[in-house]
Amino acid sequence: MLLLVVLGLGIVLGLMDVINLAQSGFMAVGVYAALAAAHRGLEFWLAVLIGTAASALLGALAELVVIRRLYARPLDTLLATWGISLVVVEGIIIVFGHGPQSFDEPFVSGVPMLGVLYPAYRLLLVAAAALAVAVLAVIVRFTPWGLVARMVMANAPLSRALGIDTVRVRQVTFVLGSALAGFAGAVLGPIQGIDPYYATSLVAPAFLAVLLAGRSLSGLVLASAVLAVATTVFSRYFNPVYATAVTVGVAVVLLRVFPQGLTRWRG
Amino acid sequence: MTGRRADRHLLARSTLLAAAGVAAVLAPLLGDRYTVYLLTQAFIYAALAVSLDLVWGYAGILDLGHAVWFGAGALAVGVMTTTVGRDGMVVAVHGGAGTYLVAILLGMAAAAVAAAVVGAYCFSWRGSTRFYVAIVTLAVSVVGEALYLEQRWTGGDNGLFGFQLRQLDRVAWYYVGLALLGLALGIGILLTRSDFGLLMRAIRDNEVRARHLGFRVDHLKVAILAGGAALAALAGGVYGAAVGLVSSPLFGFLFSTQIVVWVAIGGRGTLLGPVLGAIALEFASSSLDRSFPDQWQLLVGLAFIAVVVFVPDGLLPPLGRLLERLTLGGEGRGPARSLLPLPVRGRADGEGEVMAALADVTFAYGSLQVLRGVSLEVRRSELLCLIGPNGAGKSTLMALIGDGTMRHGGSIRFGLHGVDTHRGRTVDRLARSGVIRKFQTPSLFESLTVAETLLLARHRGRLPSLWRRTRRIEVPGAVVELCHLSGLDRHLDVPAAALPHGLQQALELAATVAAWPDLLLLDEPTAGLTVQERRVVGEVLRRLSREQGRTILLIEHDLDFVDELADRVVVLQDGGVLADGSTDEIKRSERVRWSYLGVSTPS
Amino acid sequence: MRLEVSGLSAGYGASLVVAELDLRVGPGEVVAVIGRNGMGKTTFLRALLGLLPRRAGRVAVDGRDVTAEPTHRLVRRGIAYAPQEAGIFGGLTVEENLRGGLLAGPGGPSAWREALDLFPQLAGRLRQRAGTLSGGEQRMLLLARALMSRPRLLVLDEVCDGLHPPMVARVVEVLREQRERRGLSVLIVEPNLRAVLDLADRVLLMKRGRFLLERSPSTPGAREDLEHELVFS
Repeated sequence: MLLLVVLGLGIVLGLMDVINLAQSGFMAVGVYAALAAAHRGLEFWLAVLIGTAASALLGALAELVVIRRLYARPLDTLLATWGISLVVVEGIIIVFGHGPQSFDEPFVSGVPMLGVLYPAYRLLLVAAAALAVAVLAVIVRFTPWGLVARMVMANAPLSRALGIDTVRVRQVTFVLGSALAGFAGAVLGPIQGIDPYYATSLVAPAFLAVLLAGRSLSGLVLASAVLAVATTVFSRYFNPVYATAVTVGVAVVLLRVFPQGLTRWRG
Repeated sequence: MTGRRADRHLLARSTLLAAAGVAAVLAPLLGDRYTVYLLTQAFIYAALAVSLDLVWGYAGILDLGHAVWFGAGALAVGVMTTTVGRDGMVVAVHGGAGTYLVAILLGMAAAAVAAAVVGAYCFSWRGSTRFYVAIVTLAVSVVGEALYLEQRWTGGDNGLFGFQLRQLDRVAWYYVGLALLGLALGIGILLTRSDFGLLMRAIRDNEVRARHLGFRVDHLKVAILAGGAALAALAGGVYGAAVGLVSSPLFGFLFSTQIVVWVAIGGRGTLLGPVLGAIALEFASSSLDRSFPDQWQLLVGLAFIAVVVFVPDGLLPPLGRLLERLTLGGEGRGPARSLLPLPVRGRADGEGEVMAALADVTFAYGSLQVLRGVSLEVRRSELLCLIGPNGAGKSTLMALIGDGTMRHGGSIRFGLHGVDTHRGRTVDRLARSGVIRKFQTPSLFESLTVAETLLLARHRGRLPSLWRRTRRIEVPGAVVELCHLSGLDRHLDVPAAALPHGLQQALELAATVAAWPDLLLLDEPTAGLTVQERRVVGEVLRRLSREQGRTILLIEHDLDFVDELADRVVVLQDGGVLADGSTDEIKRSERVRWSYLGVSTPS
Repeated sequence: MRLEVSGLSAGYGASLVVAELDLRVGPGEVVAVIGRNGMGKTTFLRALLGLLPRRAGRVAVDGRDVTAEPTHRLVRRGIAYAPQEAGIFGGLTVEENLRGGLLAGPGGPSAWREALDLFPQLAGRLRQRAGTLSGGEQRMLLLARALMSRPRLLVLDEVCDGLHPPMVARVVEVLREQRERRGLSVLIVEPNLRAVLDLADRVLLMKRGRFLLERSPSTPGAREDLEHELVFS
């Protein structure tokens, strides 16, 4: 369930034609910035906001210096974004040290569900994730901005010929994506263990989700959902370590069957 | 580069290498114990970097799971020399030098087999891309690390430890490490300077073209990956024997990408770059690890990003250029190559028999019907021109003739040795049988020189030598002539990417001819050429067909060119044959004039 | 719109495909560029619009030098482009494709009505994915989208290619009407000479990246000159 939150929020939008392995880095920045704010006594949601802003800032910087120059070189983008996440990890270690950190959930009450007391915070997160995905879907499908984004994703030169400033569009979507990742990272802080390698275990599934998505946003959502569900299901029957391995294996095979992405076979 | 200057270059490089070698050999006498230990590890890592450079820098296969092969080597040694108790901890260490040797060899074999399996899975698939390989190897790394932790025989969380071969002391291990590096570099240099090295680079630069010249690219990639894995496992085995440690991080994603960082920063495709990169970075990180470990890693990360973005070839090439190009085994210009004309008997016999027969061929791209029932025959030794308006299907038809895996209706049959059916035959299979296509826009190997391209083309899919570096390249007389007439012979050692457009087209044609095809498929051979250049091409084609019995099918828009050369002309329109006859008949045809000047004839 | 191009040169990689081209299109003028395939016509258009880097040359719109402007800004001055290949978004619906045309210009609600009046076949297919339309329908969509933004200059690349004669006549009619009603300038590249002769004020013949010949169809002997050069050179 939680992976749904993570993948669904953190990966969407940040991936216009960019194979972005830095998302885990943005999530880490988000959670650590929120952490720092919380430890200074700021209220939870404010801390989350700060985390989001920090990630967005980093995203803007990364886009300007690195990503923008690599649009024509996808494999190098892969390497460079991975480099970014490495740098983020090291930066965090320098500032915060190696050890695990934590900060508390904003509310600890439980909600009785199916005979078990389910933590309210987690339910909130799940609901928020679902809502966010829905909102995103609406924006993408029905608003002019979403249309522009889809056009640039499908065919950038043609979009330019129609008067769209593709550079600006890519910049904005990348920053939005990193902000979203920061938000997801911060908001998951209370639940996940926080350490400098926060979310790096998500790198492989994230990468796979992108490839499985093909070039469509709905594909991205579908792929993230499939992988998240698969991991959760496998975790139930195998231990978590094997579960990741199996998920990755499944994804690799799926990619073979749907080389253009999960949504393509219909077209 | 003239002979003398090249020789001086070689001398300078060899001297430098010898000096470095001497320094390396003497080092243990001068350094302290810890430094010697560090260098030993650094040498092993450098050998590992060489193996990745061969696979990635030279052949273009981004193996993001390279650490797994290294780990496998170390694991093999660990497993064979330790006994693991019930709680997963190492209980005993046993085995003499022989066991270690056997273990290393077994590790290499296992890694090679595993890599071959992974490679076969990745490369045998039609839709395979560089990403797919990267992703699968990444998955292998992730899965490998995860699986390691779960098994008892690997030592699980703790790994295996304490099984280093104690009969050798630190200094001895230093020399072993040095020898390993020397071996790796030696193999690397031999391979990359050989004709096979050219093929590796060709696969990296333009895989599709390599296929069209008849090379079994998929098999080759699997072999290269397996070879690289074996070399990595060798390094891993030595590591295991020297250090006596193996645990899950050795297999993991982080270490894999560490290797990529060494190769990227040092300089992919230079061999020496990754070696220096690995040694320098490992050395620095070990020393700095004591004082500023995290700042150092941060710096490395930033340097990595900077290199990828701004200097994608790595740091060695520009530095090397600064030091007067003292790179080893890179795209180093060796002594100049020359062409040797091979007399080829002109085949006058068999003229008139059918080389290719197309019957009712249809083809569609998705819902777009491109070819609607094309029937024509191409006879041996004739020069047949295919003309027609844009979108008529000419290029598609030509591509289809050269590739039996494209799904089509109708049938195509050949009259060549070795192949008569077309359906299902891959591009490289058809090329090896003598059907070779020249692309419309030049599709060359950027880093290969003119001579090197012709050399590869000449092989027509046969495996080039793994050690020999051919200097005098035997090509058919027609190719020598073409090079002479077009001026290519003054640029034999110039990389294809640096040639002006006209010469690129000429090289494109020369390479196709060098493969000495029985059926030559030329897609707009004169596009973008000057009048002079067209004349040259026309001359060569005429001789190929009339005097040397090659069969030529070509697409053209220049009607004068067609007029002078063609034995027969076929006009294609809307995916069907509009007219088929001699040049005169076509010129006089009313329907053809209408098709060129007016609206499409109502069907 | 007044468009002036001088000394335009462009190419791919090391090669130069078009060299030193000069061209003028005045307000309400229709200028056609003809020539056989592979001669550089599409390269010319792409370089003109900045979709391909220019090696040399100057472009001016209404007297103002726009050579340094990026494509999307140039286009927003009132240019609509209908390319030869990859002109529509196959994965988007017809309606979304048309909407894409509104981005570059004023458009307005009447633009929709006009577009659908001109091409009624599209009206019934608004929610259909553009990639599933036939070749001819895709051309129509291309043209409709180009007209949506009420451009002052229409740049068309082989828009009649593969269309049936009645369709070609319709396109010509639409263009003529737009020219009369709104003073639309048109720069059209078309290998099909006959279609273009009815419409163009001036015809330029391109050969191997250069303009070889310029004629006004109304001048006696012009058609013959053009036909001759087109086939025999």
